[in-house]
Amino acid sequence: MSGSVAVAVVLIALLAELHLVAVAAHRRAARRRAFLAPLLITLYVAFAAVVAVTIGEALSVQ
Amino acid sequence: MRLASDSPVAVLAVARPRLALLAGLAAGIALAELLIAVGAPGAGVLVDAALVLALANGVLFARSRARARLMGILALVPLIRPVAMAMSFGGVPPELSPVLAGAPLLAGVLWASREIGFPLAARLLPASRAGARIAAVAGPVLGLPAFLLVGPARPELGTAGLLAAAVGLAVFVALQQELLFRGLLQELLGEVYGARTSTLAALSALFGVTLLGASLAFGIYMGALAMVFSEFVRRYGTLGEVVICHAGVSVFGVLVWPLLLG
Repeated sequence: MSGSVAVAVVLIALLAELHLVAVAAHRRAARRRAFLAPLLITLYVAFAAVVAVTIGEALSVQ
Repeated sequence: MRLASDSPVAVLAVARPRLALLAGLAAGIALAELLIAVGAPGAGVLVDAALVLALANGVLFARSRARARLMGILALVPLIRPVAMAMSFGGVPPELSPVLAGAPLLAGVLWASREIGFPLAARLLPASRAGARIAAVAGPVLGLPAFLLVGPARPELGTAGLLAAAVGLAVFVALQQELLFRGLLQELLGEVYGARTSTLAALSALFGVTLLGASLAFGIYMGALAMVFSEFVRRYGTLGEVVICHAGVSVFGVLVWPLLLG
């Protein structure tokens, strides 16, 4: 497993944990859930870029 | 008569949580950078991830909405290194590296500025044309020490690659970092704790710590530069000049000076 993929796996785990935090935030006060949105957006864009580049590399090898 | 709120005890009581939050975060990121530098990147990324989770939980338990909002945006800072590491693909052209590393954070920062109603367009306008010109000249000059401290390799890029890399550094590194640190965080820290010099110094130290991975001297240099930027933004209320200056530091430090002197 390459270094960047290993870090991506950590980021995905972090994303899952953050969703749990977001659910808890929503129960406490709906407005607080919105404060986690920038974090989640950042992780989703990073995840999408990792997937896109990995697929691109796999296609170029073939 | 001296007011109770001006007493040293009252001042310390306000200063402690402010400095403890920023100093704790800076210490955690410094530990992560150290672990990455000594060849334990996995441990470093886990420390950063723990900091992100701690701050995200801080959003739940913060005493006020303003503090909760501040923690949600502070949590972007320990994400900088893991996102950059996740984006470092071998097969991607080097001129696209700044775009890949900065795009996720720029998306998060733009979302956050919309969320908190930060007047992005108005703040990005330089205070004056003269200020913008001075910033455009200062950036390349201040980029020379940055180049000497880090010593990046001479870029092996054609004209199109150099232009793409320059745009990537200006938009996805300089603009993104200025919006996050001198824009959103400085604004929110000012709202919660007041825009004191000690707060700006702690924020600048935090910025410098995120760059320790390049070199200790570079982190200190950029931290000092960040303090000047913060003071400018506090005084004039605009980000335009510091974005132009930071873009000059990045583009000349990484591309132009290595080409001319490398």
